[in-house]
Amino acid sequence: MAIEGIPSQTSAEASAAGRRLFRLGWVLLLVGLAIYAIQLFALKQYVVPWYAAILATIGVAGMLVAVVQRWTVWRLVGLVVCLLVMAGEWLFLTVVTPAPAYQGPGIGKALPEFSAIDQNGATVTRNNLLGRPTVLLFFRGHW
Amino acid sequence: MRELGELDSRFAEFANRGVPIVAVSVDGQEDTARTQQRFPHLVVWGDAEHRLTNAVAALHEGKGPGHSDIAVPTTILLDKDGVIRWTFRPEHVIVRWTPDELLAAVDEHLKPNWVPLSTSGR
Repeated sequence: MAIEGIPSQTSAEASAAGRRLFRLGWVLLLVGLAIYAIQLFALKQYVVPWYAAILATIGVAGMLVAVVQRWTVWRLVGLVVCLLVMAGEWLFLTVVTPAPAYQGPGIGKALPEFSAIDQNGATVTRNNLLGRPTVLLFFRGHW
Repeated sequence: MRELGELDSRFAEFANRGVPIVAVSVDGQEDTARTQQRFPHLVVWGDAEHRLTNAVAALHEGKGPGHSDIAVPTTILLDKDGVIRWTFRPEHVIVRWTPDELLAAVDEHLKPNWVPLSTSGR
């Protein structure tokens, strides 16, 4: 409905705006993933990519608006795909990757006695760590 | 395991400070030997029975492949008497320090004990 003095948005204009919104959603989602990939593989920065999930959420919100304005099968499929990616990102960051807080022996405490094996299967113990300072590093292991 | 490659390539900087790097996982002997071959400048230990991993509460139960147990990325600096001088546990398992950050922690917390190592390993 046109209001006097204010030009109404035509159907074509609304459709073009929806397309722009939808494309912007894709761009935001892909930009977040691309930045994380660059950080991880090129810059070797191992950070928590909250920005990727936030960008994806903003993008999906825009896509949702575009679908509500005018839905097509392709828009619906795109929305579902992006929604799944966004949900995956949030799941990854809030359920899969959080680590429990460190509750082992504190600063100033002696490392408890233990036994483990070296590459040849020989037993190693706390005594193998005495005599010089050491970086003791626990890693995820061979997957 | 990506952090091991970075540490292995910068091993000399730790060796100059007299600080070996002991990398521990819950792998068995076969995988431990494979990891040791891949990163020859580090000391790689396997802890399939979780004795060392449990000693420092670094076991992430059910978070490995097929819901197996796995180590939580944890870094502990020990002095020459085996006393804990610094610990680092990220809030997310995907987070790692950089070698520069670890070297800075070594410099800050272990410096008084420095006796350079041979650069060929432990």
